Amino acid sequence: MQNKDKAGVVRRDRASSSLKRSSLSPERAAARVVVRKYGGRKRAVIQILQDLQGCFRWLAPETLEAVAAELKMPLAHVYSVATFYRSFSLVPRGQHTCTVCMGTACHVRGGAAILEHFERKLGLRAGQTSPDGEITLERVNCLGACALAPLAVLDGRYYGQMNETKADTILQPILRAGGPAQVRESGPGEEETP
Amino acid sequence: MKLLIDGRAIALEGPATLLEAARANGIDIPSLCDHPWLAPYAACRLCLVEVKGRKGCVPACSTAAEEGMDVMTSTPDLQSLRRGILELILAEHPHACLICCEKPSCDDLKSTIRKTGEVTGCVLCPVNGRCELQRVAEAVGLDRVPFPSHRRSGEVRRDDPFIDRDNSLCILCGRCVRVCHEVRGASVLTFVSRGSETVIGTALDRRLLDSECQFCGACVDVCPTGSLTERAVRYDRPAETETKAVCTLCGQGCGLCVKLRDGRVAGTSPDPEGAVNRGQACVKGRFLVRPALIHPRRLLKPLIRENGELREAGWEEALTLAATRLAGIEPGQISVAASAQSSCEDLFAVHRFAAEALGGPAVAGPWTNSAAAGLRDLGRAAGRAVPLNFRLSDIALAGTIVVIGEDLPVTQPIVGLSVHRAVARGAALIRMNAGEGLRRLSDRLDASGPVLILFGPELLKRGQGQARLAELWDLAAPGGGRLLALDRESNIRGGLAIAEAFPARPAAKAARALYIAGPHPRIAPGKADLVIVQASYRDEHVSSADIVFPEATSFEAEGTFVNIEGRIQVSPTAVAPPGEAWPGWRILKELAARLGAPGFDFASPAEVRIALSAAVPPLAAAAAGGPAFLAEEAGRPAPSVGGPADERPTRGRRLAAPRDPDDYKGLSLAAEIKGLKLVRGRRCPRS
Amino acid sequence: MTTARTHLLVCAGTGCVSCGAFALKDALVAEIARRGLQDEALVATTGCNGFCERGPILLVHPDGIFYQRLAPADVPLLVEEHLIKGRPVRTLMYVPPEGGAPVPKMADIEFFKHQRLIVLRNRGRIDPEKIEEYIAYDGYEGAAKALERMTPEEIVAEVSAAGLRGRGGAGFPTGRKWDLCRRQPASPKYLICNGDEGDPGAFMDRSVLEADPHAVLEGMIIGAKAIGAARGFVYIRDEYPLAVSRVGIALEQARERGLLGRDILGTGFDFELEIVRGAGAFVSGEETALIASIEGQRAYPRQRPPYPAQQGLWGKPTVINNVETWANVPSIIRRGSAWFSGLGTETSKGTKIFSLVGKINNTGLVEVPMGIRLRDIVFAVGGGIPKGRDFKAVQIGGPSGGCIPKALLDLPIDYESLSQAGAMMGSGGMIVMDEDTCMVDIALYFLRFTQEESCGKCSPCRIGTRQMAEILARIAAGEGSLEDIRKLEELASTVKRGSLCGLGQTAPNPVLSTLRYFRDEYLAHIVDHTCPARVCKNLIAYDIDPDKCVGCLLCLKACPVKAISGERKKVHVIDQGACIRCGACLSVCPAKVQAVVKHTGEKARALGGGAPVPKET
Repeated sequence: MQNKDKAGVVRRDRASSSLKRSSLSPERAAARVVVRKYGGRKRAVIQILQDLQGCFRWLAPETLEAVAAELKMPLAHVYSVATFYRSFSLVPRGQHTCTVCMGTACHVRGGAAILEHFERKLGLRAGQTSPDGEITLERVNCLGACALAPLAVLDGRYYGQMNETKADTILQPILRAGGPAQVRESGPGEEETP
Repeated sequence: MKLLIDGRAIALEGPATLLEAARANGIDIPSLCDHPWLAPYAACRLCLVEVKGRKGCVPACSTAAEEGMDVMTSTPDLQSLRRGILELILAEHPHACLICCEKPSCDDLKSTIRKTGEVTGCVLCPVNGRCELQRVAEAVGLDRVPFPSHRRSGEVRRDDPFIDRDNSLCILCGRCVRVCHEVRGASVLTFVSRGSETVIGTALDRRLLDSECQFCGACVDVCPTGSLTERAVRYDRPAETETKAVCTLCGQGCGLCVKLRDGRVAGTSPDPEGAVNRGQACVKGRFLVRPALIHPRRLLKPLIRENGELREAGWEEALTLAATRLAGIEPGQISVAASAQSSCEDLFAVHRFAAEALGGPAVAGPWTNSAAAGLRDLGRAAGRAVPLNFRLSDIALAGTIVVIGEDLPVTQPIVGLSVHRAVARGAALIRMNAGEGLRRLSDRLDASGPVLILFGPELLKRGQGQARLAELWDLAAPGGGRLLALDRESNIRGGLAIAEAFPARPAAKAARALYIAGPHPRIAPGKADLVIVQASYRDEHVSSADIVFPEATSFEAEGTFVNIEGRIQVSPTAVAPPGEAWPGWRILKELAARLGAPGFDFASPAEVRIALSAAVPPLAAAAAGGPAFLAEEAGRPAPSVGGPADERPTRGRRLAAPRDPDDYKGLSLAAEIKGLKLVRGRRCPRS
Repeated sequence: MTTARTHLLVCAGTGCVSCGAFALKDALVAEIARRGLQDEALVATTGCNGFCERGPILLVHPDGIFYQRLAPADVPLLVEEHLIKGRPVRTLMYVPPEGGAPVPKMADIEFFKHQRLIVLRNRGRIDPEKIEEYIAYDGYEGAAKALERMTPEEIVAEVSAAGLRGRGGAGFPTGRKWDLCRRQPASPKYLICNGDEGDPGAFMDRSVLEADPHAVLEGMIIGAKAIGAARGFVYIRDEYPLAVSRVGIALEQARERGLLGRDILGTGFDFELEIVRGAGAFVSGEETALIASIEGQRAYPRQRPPYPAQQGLWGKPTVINNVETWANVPSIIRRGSAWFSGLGTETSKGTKIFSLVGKINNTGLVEVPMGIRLRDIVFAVGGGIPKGRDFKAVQIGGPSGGCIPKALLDLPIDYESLSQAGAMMGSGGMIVMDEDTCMVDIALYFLRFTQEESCGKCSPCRIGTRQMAEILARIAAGEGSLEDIRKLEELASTVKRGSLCGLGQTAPNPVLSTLRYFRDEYLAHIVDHTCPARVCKNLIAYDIDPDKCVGCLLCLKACPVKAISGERKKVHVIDQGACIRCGACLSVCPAKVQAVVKHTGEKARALGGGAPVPKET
């Protein structure tokens, strides 16, 4: 029997049944499971936050509090770590994530113009999420796929040799609320970010 | 160890950083992020020095001095580097005054008050004249900042009691974060975000009140700029004088620096050399002394009841009236009560007064049911010596600590710091409620290592208190452990020692007169014909009294206090008492004179101490003046005649509740001072 | 064991996967089955071949025939011609950029010919998710030798004699680091693999971790024996999920074979490895910051000394080395220090992997012997600059490095000569730039990067890089003055000497390096309000050549601010007052037409451009 929480994430039976038994919030229950996975080790706080962000797509205050409680660690420390590392988002992220690489190779091949184009097309600055929660636009300092420069990643799929036309093509279905288009044949979601 | 700094030969006794070595020898290397209480941080980079044989520069704060080092602290290169770094720091800190050409005439021309919403320069800054950054800029000799300024964003946070936070003045030295984490163990303030976006803040940017902050004020004390300030004194001019005094708001006896201006207390801060607290304080000692001393409830003049109302009177009138009325009552029908928040001098005077002037009634006091008394009686019951004295800092060395019934941040904050240090070193900490069964505890205690059991009056409040204490002793003693009594009043140990020296007859069953020198016990005044009260604040006892004598507080009258460690500390007169308040011993001296009682010919606190030392041998060291501890008693059986042991309530009678930890001489600080009300009023944050 | 007469190795590195390597593989498998050749032709996937520009790539053995830019549609022809008729398909082979005949064999292709593979020796020939293939190519022999027949001192001596230097950037002698740690009395000791490859434009470590993770594992096992560590951590950037997965699989397979864990190979030696993921902070590549990150803290660097080899992770002696450094170790132990030190120069032994990216024909990963000339890397291996543009500079060392101009193309690649020239070996990112790259823009790019990634702990870096970036932005926007150059140089000195860690200490390098070799470009921006490379928006103008424009309306439609007017078959015109210089028109103008041009300086101003870009509404 599967249980979906408000983030639409499917929980394992054990977690969901313990959820039913106790009055723990989804964040607290998830934090407990993840903290246990890492043996309750305080030093694993970063990985714990990563796993929970993968689960809920962002780190809500409740999630941070849950981690602090389960790890018996001051909330200030959890918050301090969560705000330091770029991987973490303390605001809700969109259903889709579009990441434009701003590494040097991409920059030299016109990456800045590509980012501007995406920003214009989506009406967002890099780092922002659309008001309807559909898409988050991000920039990242080098994904290490420099041969494909300039590069954009949409929902884990890499699209190399990006230009304005291709950008419009891959964005089109999302702007019409659908899934990402196939510009080139890609592998089976191998680059899916956790 | 010998090394060279700027060509001078320096000799060092033990390990030291280059910064410590230089400063100890009068060589000033500027720094902003370093602090003697904190581990070196090496972030501001102002203390960079050159060491021969090492490439580049090294930060003096985190470089260990080594034999034969040749250090240069102020070469032209270093000076220009230091200037360059300071220019960068100031590019992100309001520095309009620094580069202003009107500076010399500013004081004369300045016509507006300095309280503004936004600080643009020193003159408008709450800590102008007391700012470390200012000092460094003057030392380095900076008068221009050749970069565009950036203002760290965010409004001034004024939504918490006591402390204001202004991020625009922050230079990210990290001292506040480090002191809150390393020393206080609270971890309330932290670094948020990264790089140029870094700010100091709380988790989720909540108020300090919502972040488990105990408002100890350590962050304010270490902040080198005006970023963290004490709101009440924000725009005050620097203090004129400073006196070191002992805090008497709880039983720990912290050293405080009392700042004075215009003959009034301007504020208090912890004494970095305080033997007990070493520069740390709590919300009360840090922020509440001044409000307490000037509280509207202060009694300023003697009061006499006339026609059902209390009216002001002169001392002569009040003393004469009191003496007359006391003389007309049988000794056996006078009850005397004293407070454990009074100095040894005052308590000695009360006891002598009761003995010589009133025919010897017992003096009731809270020391009877105190944790210290419980421990002492434990020893006497078993005929062995149970040590009462300890050093607060030694708690940090314990391997296992048990805390029973005490919320340390509220009742014993400095003890709490020592406990935190112990835990940081790997000690096990077990917290229990006073009423919990002890079987679970014995299961949890390791066979290895001595255990320290910290307990307070809560433990003895319930029935079977002595029995539980004995059980705890049996758990701790065999392994070399100890029990530490943590009482809440400032002079329980002193009170206990003095009471022992005055054997007295039992208290009157139906007293016709009450002499209350301090609000204890909660004697219902309704039935007595005569109630005389000696107090600092108007409270319920005062309201029902016939004669009221206004008493000076410990900050206004030199006095000796013995803290929970057994440490004897003499606190000087820091400020003149308000109105016509007198020290307690003086009131009793004058009253005794009018009653013709002998033994009161002392004219100063020092003379009281001489008499006190003669009468109370364990306090002999008080007269000597040097640092000393109360003499421990060798194991002896309980005294057979009279004595406070007989004061112990018989079965059935309700024990007095332990004093509210925030009570000061009848003034409930938590109820009367808004800031503390907010702090204490929070739901217990422990999850 | 089946033996096929032909192996078809499909490259499954990131680049090729993004171009459809798996679809290609599926098509091959299907076609081979359809033609009944499944017993004769084996299809397998391997890690990255390095020639990412040309993906999807297929290697056919035993002849070593190299196919590139394949699509599933090419498969039937390939199978028919090459497998059945024995005639390799020339139309699918690599043709050099300058033209000429196709080159059938990988070993003959310029890109591969000059490389010397030590770290990448298993490139294109093993499946990284099959430990037995790694073992088949002498895998774990070095570890066995070290554990069974060498003492810690001997291992350290070998690595020292080989002259291996840290491949992460600074080039510190690896043997010396290990020896310092080995001699520490404290315990336990730890090993860390620094896989936080943050230099933009560098993907060497990514490739190694994805394509040959066992090389790193084996190196760490040897290192653990050398210093006396029982635990190690492999720290991998969060942006490399495939690397995390591959290393995880490698660890499991190594454990299954008794190559990790307790009593490895029955020698009584215990060693266990754990993966720790980064979380998006470039600064956590700095070794003390990395340690802080593993400890669950903010990645704040710490003052050194003490060095991690003395007091590192949790205050214990710790050796941190880069992925590439670790991956060199097995070969050194297996083949001996004399062999390794026979390669390279006097001070820089062995090989180095570079990621050759940017304005270069043969984009990809190359491993070359130290001492090779820069010219050979760019023009021989790299195949020169695309579209016939002129070489301008190579940026080496990422945000800590500098640019090498044309005049220094004959520089041999080694640690000392690079740092003398104002650059740095760095992790190996080599970004080639042509005449269309503006060096002021590049300096600004790197300073912005450093500003974003600065941890913020120390004042010189946190504040100084921001001030430097702002000055550069002003210069790039045509608002700079000569005083700004002096300020930049002064700031550079303060930041360099005052910063706590390597990130800050090297942050000014790109500025200093471009000022050293391209000062005239700075002056052009400041004095002439010109951007010679035609990059800086405020100093350029876009124009449509009326002689070339065919009136196709493409640029009109692409313009986001509708600054282009015109009709079908009529010359289009750009409204300079509205043009935001985004470059969309240039991008969509058909290659055969090339009517859109950029102007700068006087020409631009005459057109009405060369002024601050209008704000977009």
